[in-house]
Amino acid sequence: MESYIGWILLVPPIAVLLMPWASRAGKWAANTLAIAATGLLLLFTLRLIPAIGSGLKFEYYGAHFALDSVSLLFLIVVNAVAFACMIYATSYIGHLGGRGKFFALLIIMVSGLNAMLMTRDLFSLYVFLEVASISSYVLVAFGLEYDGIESSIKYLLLSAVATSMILLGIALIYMNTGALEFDALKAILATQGSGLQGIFLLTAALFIGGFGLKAALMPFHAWLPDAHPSAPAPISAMLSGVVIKVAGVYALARIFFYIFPGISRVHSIFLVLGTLSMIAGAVLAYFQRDFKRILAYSSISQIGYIMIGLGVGNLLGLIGALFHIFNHALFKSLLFLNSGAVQYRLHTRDIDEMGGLENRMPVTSITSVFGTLSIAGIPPFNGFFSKLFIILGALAAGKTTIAVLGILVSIFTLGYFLMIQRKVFFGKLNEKWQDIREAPFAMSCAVILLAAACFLSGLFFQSVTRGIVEPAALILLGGK
Amino acid sequence: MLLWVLLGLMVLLSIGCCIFKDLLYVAVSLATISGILALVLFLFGANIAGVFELSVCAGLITVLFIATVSLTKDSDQKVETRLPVYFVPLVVLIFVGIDYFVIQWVAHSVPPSVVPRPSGTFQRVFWELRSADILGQIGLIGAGVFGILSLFRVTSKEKKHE
Repeated sequence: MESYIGWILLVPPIAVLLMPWASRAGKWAANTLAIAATGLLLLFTLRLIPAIGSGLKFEYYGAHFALDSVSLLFLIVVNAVAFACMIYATSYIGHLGGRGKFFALLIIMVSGLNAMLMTRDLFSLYVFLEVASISSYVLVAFGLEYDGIESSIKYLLLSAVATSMILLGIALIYMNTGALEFDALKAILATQGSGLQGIFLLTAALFIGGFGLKAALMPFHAWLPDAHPSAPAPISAMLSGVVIKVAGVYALARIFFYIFPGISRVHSIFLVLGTLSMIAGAVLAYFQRDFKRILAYSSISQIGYIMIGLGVGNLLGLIGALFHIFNHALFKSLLFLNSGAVQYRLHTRDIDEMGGLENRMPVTSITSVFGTLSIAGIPPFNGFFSKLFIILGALAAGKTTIAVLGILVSIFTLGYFLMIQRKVFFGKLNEKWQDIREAPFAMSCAVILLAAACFLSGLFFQSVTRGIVEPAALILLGGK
Repeated sequence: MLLWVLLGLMVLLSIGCCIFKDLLYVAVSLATISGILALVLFLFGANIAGVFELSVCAGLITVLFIATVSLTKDSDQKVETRLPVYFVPLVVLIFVGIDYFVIQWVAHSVPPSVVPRPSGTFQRVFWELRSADILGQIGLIGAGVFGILSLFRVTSKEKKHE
């Protein structure tokens, strides 16, 4: 079983090394290699599911990696979304050119995220975060158009601030404890924690600032509404569905629940930032007219829900937060891929110019309805159950106001997503779009897969929560 | 006092990097910052970090920057010489060689006490205790290489115009 961890680390470099030859051999070879690489990563990840609860360790030439239920949950999310995005990208990337380079960068980004999830060392976590980040800066600008390059620079500059804060936090931790490994740090804190309280509060502030910026929490969100819309659609889906969660939320959860648990002030900060992001993200999304920009602001709002679940800190809240991470990855990737399909055919992102596309693009339209119902929290779609857990968690913790706000924002979310549906897919067909056809086959396949996943993970929510979410929540609560 | 002067110089040069219009000046400023940072690291007793900063950042990276700047002039400016095309690989090879000898020197001459906690030699720290980071470094180099290739590629639109 441990060998699968090794394969997850080994497959991406092999695929990246072969990619230049594959892309020279032809489009089909590059596509096959890219899909095979991400498919294998998903397969190896799924093969690790039976190991949930036992924990696995992998060591090769002194490089230590380990897998617990928290890492596994995020690994499933990363590799499932990456697989769908890669299938989608095989058709989508044709109009941008640079197929092999795009696939190589996407695989490097996925490998950075995977390694980040499996490392047990704070500095290695930073190094792998940089691997994923550098690939994503380039991928945002991959279209080589003005807005893409501009937002990539903005993303790069703000991320530089974030990584400086993270690095300074790591340096302070190392200076005071002499350790970087998660378990060693946990043990040191358990014995000398009270003497180091001041320094941990300082590092906590640095980590919340740094990883909060990566997670695009309000007020650290400025880069996201520009970077996500201007990136190619599969990258928008990866960034919103996966990267902000692993680079931001996973790191925060791992640090403040697993390594330094019990800093109550941190949980209060999570609640405040979460509530602010949930409300402001939804309000700002409502006023946008750019399809992808609405989705980008909505990501900020949904990250707010996740942070509320973490801030509540009880079992229900944590199950809700982790399940929402899983669900949001599926439905937000789906919605970004749908918006990409519309942009691919219409060459515009302005929803006021659209309308009546349901008959011209039926697959995109129906799967978009699935995404909308999921994100708005309508049963039996997956978003309903994760939001329900978060709200119940908030109520159980006595945070009634936040729970009520959560319900209201969910209704508001349904409102602005129905507005998108009406303006884009329903109503009278704009004459300009008479000759519009459905998105290419591979792009439709990817959205169908994600829509099915949204529906099935809602329908069988008990199996998902009991099988992979609850064990992860128990680890964050201090269990094994 | 010396430390403050050095840190101040670094800040001034960083500002310069943001305001210089000629990319060549920016590259030279960055190299100077790396040189000063190496000096600061030596002053702190972090000799290994200092040597790496000097050889890799001030040396190798600067050469790559300057080479890239000279290769990516505006399309209306003709490149007068193809010298950089032959020059860059040679310089990269020279720096790789220098780095190899520097690592060998560091491994044998720097006492292990410069690393605060981990016990053992430089090789042990580099190859055993932090070997996962080497994997990360390979990923970073891969991202950089494919990043440059992607950002300087000919797009489909440009191909159509041609």
